[in-house]
Amino acid sequence: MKNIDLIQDILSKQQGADDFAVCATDTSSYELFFVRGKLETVRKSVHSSAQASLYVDHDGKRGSASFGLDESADAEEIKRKAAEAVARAKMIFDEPYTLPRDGKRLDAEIPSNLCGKDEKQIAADIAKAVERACTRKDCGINALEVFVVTKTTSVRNGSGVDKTQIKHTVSIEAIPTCDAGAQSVELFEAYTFGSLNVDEITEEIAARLDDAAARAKAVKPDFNLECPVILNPYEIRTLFEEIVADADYARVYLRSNLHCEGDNWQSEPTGDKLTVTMRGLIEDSPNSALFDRDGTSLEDRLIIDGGRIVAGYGANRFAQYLGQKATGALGCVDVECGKTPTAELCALPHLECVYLSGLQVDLYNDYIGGEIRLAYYFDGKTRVPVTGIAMSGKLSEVLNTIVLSKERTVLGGYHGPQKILLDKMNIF
Amino acid sequence: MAIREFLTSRTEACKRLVRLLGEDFAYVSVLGADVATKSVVVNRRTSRVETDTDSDKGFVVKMTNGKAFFEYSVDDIGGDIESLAQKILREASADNSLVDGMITSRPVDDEPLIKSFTRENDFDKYSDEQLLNACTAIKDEILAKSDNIVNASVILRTLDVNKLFVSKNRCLDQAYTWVNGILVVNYRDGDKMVSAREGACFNLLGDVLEALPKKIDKLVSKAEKLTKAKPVEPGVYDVITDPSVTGLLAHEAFGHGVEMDMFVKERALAKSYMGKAVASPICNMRDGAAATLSVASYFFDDDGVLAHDTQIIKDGILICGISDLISASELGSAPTGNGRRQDHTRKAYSRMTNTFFEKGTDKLGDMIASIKHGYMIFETNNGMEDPKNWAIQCVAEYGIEIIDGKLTDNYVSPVVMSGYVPDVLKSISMISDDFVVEGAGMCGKGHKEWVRVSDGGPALKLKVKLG
Repeated sequence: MKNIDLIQDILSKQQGADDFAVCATDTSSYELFFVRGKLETVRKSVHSSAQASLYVDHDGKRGSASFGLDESADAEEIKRKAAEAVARAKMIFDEPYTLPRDGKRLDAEIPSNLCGKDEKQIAADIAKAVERACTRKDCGINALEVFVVTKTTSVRNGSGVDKTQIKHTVSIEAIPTCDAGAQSVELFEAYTFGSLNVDEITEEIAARLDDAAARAKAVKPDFNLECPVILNPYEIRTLFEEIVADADYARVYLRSNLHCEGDNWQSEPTGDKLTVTMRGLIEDSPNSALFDRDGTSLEDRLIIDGGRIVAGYGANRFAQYLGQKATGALGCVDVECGKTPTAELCALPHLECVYLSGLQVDLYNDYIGGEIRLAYYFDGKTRVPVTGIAMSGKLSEVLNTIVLSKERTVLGGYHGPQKILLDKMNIF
Repeated sequence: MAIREFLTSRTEACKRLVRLLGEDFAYVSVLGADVATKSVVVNRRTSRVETDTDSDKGFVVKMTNGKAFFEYSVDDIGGDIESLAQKILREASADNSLVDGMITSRPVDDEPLIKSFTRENDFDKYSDEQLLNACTAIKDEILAKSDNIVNASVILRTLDVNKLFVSKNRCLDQAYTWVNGILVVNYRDGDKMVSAREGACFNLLGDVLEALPKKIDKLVSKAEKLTKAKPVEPGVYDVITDPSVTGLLAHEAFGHGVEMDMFVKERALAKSYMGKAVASPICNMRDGAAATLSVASYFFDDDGVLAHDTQIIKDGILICGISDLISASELGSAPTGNGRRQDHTRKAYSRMTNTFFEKGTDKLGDMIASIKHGYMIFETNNGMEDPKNWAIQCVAEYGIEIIDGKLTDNYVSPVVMSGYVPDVLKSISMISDDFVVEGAGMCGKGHKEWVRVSDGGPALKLKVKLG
């Protein structure tokens, strides 16, 4: 952000403020939008913004106020907003805390094979990789969106923090479609990668086109399904994101957490015991970061060990309130794999969910479930695509039965088993 | 109330940029956004007042020459406009290998219009201190209701929208506001923790501040009852939806399915059902920024098209979709004022605005009395569309069991409704004579592109799978 030095200078001299912080982001995005194989829209976006915070210590408490700034903000606007923020901060009576302190300057780039490459070429290469996957008769990609993004984040505060990181990502949204059956059917796929492997994109899209073809043949079963359920990375990610959110220091401080340190997520495990670590960096994950928006350097933390909650995690302020060491706002969930190969996991009768409208996980109501748009039912001999069904279960009971695959994968901020098997789910 | 100086001072630069780029493109427009926001959040242990932390300030240039569309988003337009025009031509372009594979688009209608639009607001009447004190008083009143309340949050979010649209023949600007007020409690009874919420959403702060305190007793009573809620036994039931869930149904079942960019992509089954029955003949459904006053009630959309009031379903027959400029251009139809962007850095798509079923003639009491065993379902949690294949999932916060025509004290939560859209909509057998549209929603396209929407309607009686 061009005016970050000016913002820092004004905030640091603001009368009545005891401390300041500013987090600025510069985002450059190149985007292609295809409709039925034709290029419909080309976009380029260049955007900079900053969020500034001022802190006022008063009456034994700390008040803070934040405000947004953009690149058009001149000294007059920054000074006006800073003065207003001080006035607001004086109305806030929060418990005292200090900002992260760090005298070591950081200027780094998250490792990625996207570094230094031409954005137009990357986008074109991705489009071609998707096109190469479209070899199946009656199947194709009805809509494709490609985003090539470079984001630079800088955090500075009044306690010496001065950190900058550059992150490269590519995102793809693709709609695999099959027109083979009586009715055309589709799936919805969205991916974000921290590095690019065009061959993997081709393989992944081809596999999803196979699934679309299966949805065209899928029928609602005319008998009750009573078998374990296998989930794939999209849904596994949702499940674990919900579980780890309960250990976030902010939730704990506000007493909104369901479980406390020492509690068990698995009371009587009959499958694999869960071991989960929150991490800052995971290779190829678009969620990887070196520091959070407070400027706290990220520190990995084991939070569930053998099914038991052993620690919380979270950002500076709420960690201080709880008397804990801040890990920073960790964005990657690393789930330890099991010992069961996928082939073995899939050998017994099961329902493998491929496409859900959205896995619903409700910790408070002890619920897991959702509407299934495509699944494969395996009766021990034959694997058939099914649709038009739903599933639900008691989360606490289901987690006791979880079996984790030996093979691992990365999806967004999730790193862990490629498949999990859950028992005690109602399928209806 | 005129638009702020940030946009007025750039109007001439926008016009000059349109002229310069018009030398290379048949159609050029510039949308300027200056959306100011404020959040006041108070809970048991912390509070904050933030301004512009989710604001939107900048410009997006849109161009076409009868083939693909090109867009360039930038935070400011000023200084050397000729250099900016050259930069746009250079950077908003495709790799040579893709040039031959572009769409062909029809000429964009750029009918002359110069107009300013404003709506009354009262934001200047309330200081930050007054807002903070009001929220704190409500929070304290909630907490005083029960020792079982572990946390109470009071949230005020204000939206102050200024937009400018410039093309060769049009120059439009608009200024309007909206306020969402939300109350949330976390309530613990033994091992059981629940969360409950109430909201009040209007275009005036005064109306929200008046409405919120009146919701406290209902909020706490609901939380208490939810601690005793049980899971619903999976099955197909007679169900009555409250206006919030009715709105969710309108939104997920048919709203997404008639977004006409989905027609262009051959992603919507609705395209082949135009003029055909898709719902019970007593159903009427509408969408439009001009259809009612709520959070999505703008005067023109992000393509510079004036707000519409579009009837989507009439007497159970699907009659019209909703479109943005590009999809209308590709389909050869007139845009319906539904081109919306998450912010100036994002693409415009065909998006819903205020979407609802029209009210009917039945009394809610008669609807409940008509059910031997079923549920009345309350409050939207989330939903997911499937416009191509018409599967639907709608998640409600809770339901109340109906036995022998009477609401009981038996709460169920969560409630996941699922089914096949025409089956669900054709099962609608009664529609209440009241009507509420709620304006606190956010809607994504797929899993991104979030815009503010409202939805609602009357209570509906229908048959659906719960689980």
